[in-house]
Amino acid sequence: MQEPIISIQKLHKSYGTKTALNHISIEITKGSVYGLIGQNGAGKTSLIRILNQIIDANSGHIIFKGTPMTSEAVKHIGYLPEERGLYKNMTIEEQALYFGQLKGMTKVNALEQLNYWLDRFDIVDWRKKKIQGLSKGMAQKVQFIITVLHQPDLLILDEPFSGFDPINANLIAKEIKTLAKNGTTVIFSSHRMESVAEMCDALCLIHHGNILLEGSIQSIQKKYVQQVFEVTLNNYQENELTLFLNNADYKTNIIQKEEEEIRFEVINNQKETDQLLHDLLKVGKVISYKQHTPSLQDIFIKTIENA
Amino acid sequence: MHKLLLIIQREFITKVRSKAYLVLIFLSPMLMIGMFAAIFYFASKESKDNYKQVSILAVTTPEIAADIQKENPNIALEYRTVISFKDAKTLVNDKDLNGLIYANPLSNMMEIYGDDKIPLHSLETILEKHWILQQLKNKGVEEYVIKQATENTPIHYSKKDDSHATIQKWVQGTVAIGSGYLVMMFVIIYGNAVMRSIIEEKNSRVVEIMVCTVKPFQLMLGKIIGNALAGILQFLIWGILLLGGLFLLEIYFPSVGGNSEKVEQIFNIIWEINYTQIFVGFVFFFLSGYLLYSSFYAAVGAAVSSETDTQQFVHPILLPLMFAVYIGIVTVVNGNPNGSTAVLFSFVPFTSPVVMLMRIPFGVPLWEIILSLALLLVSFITTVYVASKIYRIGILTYGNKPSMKQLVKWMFQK
Repeated sequence: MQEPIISIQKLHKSYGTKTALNHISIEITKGSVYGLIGQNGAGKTSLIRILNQIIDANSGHIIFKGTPMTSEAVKHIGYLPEERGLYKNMTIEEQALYFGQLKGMTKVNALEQLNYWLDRFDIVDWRKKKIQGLSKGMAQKVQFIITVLHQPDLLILDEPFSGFDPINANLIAKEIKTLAKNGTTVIFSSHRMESVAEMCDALCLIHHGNILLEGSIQSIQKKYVQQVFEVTLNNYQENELTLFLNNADYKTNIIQKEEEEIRFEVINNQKETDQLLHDLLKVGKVISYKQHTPSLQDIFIKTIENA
Repeated sequence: MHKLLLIIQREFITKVRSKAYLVLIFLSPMLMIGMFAAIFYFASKESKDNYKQVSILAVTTPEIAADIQKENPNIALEYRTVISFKDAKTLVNDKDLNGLIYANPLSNMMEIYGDDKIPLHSLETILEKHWILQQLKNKGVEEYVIKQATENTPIHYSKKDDSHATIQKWVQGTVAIGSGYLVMMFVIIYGNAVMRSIIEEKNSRVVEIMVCTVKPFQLMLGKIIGNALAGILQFLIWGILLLGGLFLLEIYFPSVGGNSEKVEQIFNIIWEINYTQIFVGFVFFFLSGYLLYSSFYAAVGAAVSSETDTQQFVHPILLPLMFAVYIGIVTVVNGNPNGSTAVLFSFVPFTSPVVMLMRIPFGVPLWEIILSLALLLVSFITTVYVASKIYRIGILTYGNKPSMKQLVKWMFQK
């Protein structure tokens, strides 16, 4: 297992009586895309702000690149806030130089990187344009460039696709993946589950300041794979079917029933899968047999509902 | 430090190249010079137009009338002989004359009637002389003796010229009130600029990126200093434009006014003023006053989400500034810029930038200036500390306008 680039240990933050983060611990491996999922007000923004040293935690530690996090180390982080914003009356080049230099880049270096990204997004002629003259999508692209300009080790993206049209969202997603492949660690915060499943290697689900789920997407899905099967039988025998339907070990919902063929859903609570298959074969010829894999969205909703 | 410089640079450049700034810098002095030019023009024109001859009705002996005319060649004398005093008065009123001399030494009647434009002293002297002459004649004194005694007296009167002192006082007062007022304006304009810049940053959410790059305190300080530099640049340009404008006025005006001597005198006094002292005083007191007030403006900007919400908080900031200007003007106009009231308020940090600056043209001991600045500096450190506490929380708090109580809570929040 690779050493984590960032390790969050028992982080706690409260505002007055309201707990935003309840002693949470997370480890993120270098070069991975890590999803931070949760509803509005779950504690995502608080966590991100603590990582960025904008606010202080009440207790707990953050180890970044092997040493405790300092405000000096924040320059290795690139942060794209959910609420985007740039200086409206400055040109793209001026903004890049300003933010780049604030992050410790030299002027030459910042210009070099700006050229690289403008070229990559094919917007070289925007250089002297002011933000106030750009469309929302265009401004978003510039914001992304500003975020990654100083080649951060850790990229924190809060809802990176909001405001993008599908084509540009795709473009940005591709860039994020490329960055991760080249060693940049990405924390991807969102409340839109489908984008997370597509982008992330691992994730955690935060709810009311607590972590409800954590781990790689496969491991989470595996854990939530249910004993629910969709079965289609051919040439079934009516008396055996009645027996099966009345079997207390299974909960059955008939989806479609025809003369020759029957399709139903079985929730197997008691027995081994082998036994279920054995029992089904007694009823008729098994044409299809599929175990339900719940979507991440279903898992999240269920987890939060049960929380 | 490098980050602070970058912030200052950005603030300064953004401010200086904004259209509003350029308009303020070049249009305002032009309006001001235009106003001065108009005042000078109308003042000199009026003094020409206003000159109207004083007219007096003289119902008296030819000798007295001759004497009056001799002593006051500018007076238009209307001469009558047979008319009653009552009718003469009515005639003066009807014809809107300035006065009436109704005098005949033989009849023991010597009346002077008139408004304050008649040369009363001269008229009294003339009548007294003729009265004495008549009395002496009656007593049988020889005429040549009387003549010797009354004519060619060695008495000589010359008018004291105090116009220099008056004009000097007037010019000093104008400079004092002008610079005090200017400091107030600058503090308000640039304090507001800081506040607006913060609100803009907050609304456009740039602040979120900024505060993960620099400390909120650095950001606030950078803003304050950047705007202060823009303010000083503006003052410099205004100073040069104003002095240049006055110079042009001086070249132009003596040739048109009917009052050229006086205009020249005013200009001489204007050039007598120690502009280095005024400039240095302005820079120091503007800076320290601005620093003190702008930290409040910064806190307000951070606390609210839109400019319309600022009213409630900005009002308490404006009050001491207004108060200072009134105190300054009253003490200067009353000619008491070194009295106890003025001295007291030139030490109180919230009024001292304005009041002290108004006192400087009249001469203030150096230790008083240094003490006043020191007090301002201490107050600035205190207010900037308090403001940074509010600012730090405020910039990341969106939504409803906070109450005063909440602001106090923020001050102590960790």
